[in-house]
Amino acid sequence: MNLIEQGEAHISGKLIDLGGPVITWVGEMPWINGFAYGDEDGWLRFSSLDGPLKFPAPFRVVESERAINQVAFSVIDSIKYIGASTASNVAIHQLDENGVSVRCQTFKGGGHGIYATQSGEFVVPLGPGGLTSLFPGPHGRIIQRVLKPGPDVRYCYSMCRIGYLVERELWACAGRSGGLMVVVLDDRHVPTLLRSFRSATRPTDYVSVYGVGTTDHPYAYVSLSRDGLVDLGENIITDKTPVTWHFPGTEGVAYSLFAAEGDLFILTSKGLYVCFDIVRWFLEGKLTGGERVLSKVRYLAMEMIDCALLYGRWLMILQPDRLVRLDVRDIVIPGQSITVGQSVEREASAGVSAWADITLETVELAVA
Amino acid sequence: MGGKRKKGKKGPGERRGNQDYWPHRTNPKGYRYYFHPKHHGGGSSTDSRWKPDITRREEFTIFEISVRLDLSDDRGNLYNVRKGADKTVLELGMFHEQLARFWKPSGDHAWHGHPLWPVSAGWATNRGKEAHRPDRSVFRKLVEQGVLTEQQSYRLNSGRNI
Repeated sequence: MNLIEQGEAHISGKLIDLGGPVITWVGEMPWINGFAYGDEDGWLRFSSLDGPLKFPAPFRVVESERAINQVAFSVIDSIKYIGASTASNVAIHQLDENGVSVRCQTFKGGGHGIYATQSGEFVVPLGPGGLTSLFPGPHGRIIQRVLKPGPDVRYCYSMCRIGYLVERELWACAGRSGGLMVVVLDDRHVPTLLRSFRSATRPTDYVSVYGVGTTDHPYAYVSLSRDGLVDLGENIITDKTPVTWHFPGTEGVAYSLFAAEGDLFILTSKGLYVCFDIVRWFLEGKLTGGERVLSKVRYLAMEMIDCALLYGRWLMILQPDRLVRLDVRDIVIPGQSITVGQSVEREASAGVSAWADITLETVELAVA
Repeated sequence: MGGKRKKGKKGPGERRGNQDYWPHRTNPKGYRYYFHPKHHGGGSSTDSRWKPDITRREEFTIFEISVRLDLSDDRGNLYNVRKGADKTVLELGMFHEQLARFWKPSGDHAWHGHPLWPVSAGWATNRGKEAHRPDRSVFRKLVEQGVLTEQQSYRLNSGRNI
């Protein structure tokens, strides 16, 4: 594939200033329909979609020498739980009806992240330690089950929920050079390896996996390796030959990917690549491999700690000195970019949460 | 778990072969460096291991730079990363570790180092709470010395790849 066209555009967004420690994770806060922010000091803060919130109050969700890398929320029998992960340890909080933590259990050993399943347990990829599930059982006791490392489970790095398989929840795990893993969780909360696979023709370091299932292809997935190669598969349970797609202009070390509305978002150490229609074409059978495709890619050159697409609309970009919220609709519709200019203005004084308008420059690329 | 050394057991400096020491001392400070077999395939499955493509010269150089830049924690242990020609941070260990830790020895013993797990292992170690380090001050030093960008330091500190 070759780069055949290049242009520039600008998009508008919001600059979010929460003050305090650097935000190292942002995600959906389902109980308030807003955002949750984890920081380098182990604190969890909240906001609405458009501005600061006084309630729920911030609280220190994990005592750690390392920064929060993910937080997950779960409800079991009307009792709310929050799980937080750092590279040193994992904490699970039980909350009362006022959202105050009444019990916390901390687990030694760090996780690369933490995810809440639909049945309420938390799953944590432990790197070389395998994978663990943490289920808040009766009387507040956390039941821990571990998928131990072995020949087929060499490393557990990042995860994504795929769906259900005969009443059992199905998850995918990017296992770095150990390949991709498919894990099921049974009704006793035991994580079991269903399948582990990796490319037979090239060494691949899988860093991210994302479910893109549809009615026709419920187990479809897309994965990313550290060198920027993207694999698309119709069925993560049975596929042997995923389609590999590579946008040749990708620069930097690949970090993670996600998909929305048929578009693919790839985060690298250099910025964010939004690759239009690639997933849609694949699921429609138009991207079968061996042929040249013409696709558009929008590139946002920003070094990010992380980024996430929340509520299918808000693209949250974490940088060491700022947090930016973009409306994904401004990005995925080329030509809709509205504001011209690159000035950044803050609305509030230091120490007060601020949401200011921001304009970012993007580069629009077309490749064939 | 590590306990007290048994009486009569040889100290680390007494049972090592000369071939396991780098022949030169660091400049500055004149530290000796020991290539611990435990971290070169001679240990257990839970011991971190240097990647085989990292030569002894390269391992020593990573250590010497950490001495030169004083990339230390508050206990004097040293840290560093490995950079590629294009300035990307390369992996050091068999489990995708991208940070090396060099334990401060007692007395005049030689230093040794190992790739540090991106996430702390849940199993017990003989280093107690130290196993969960480095703390944030180390990452700050890595940024101040230009070894990592701020973005890289926050990702690495939170257990993400860079």
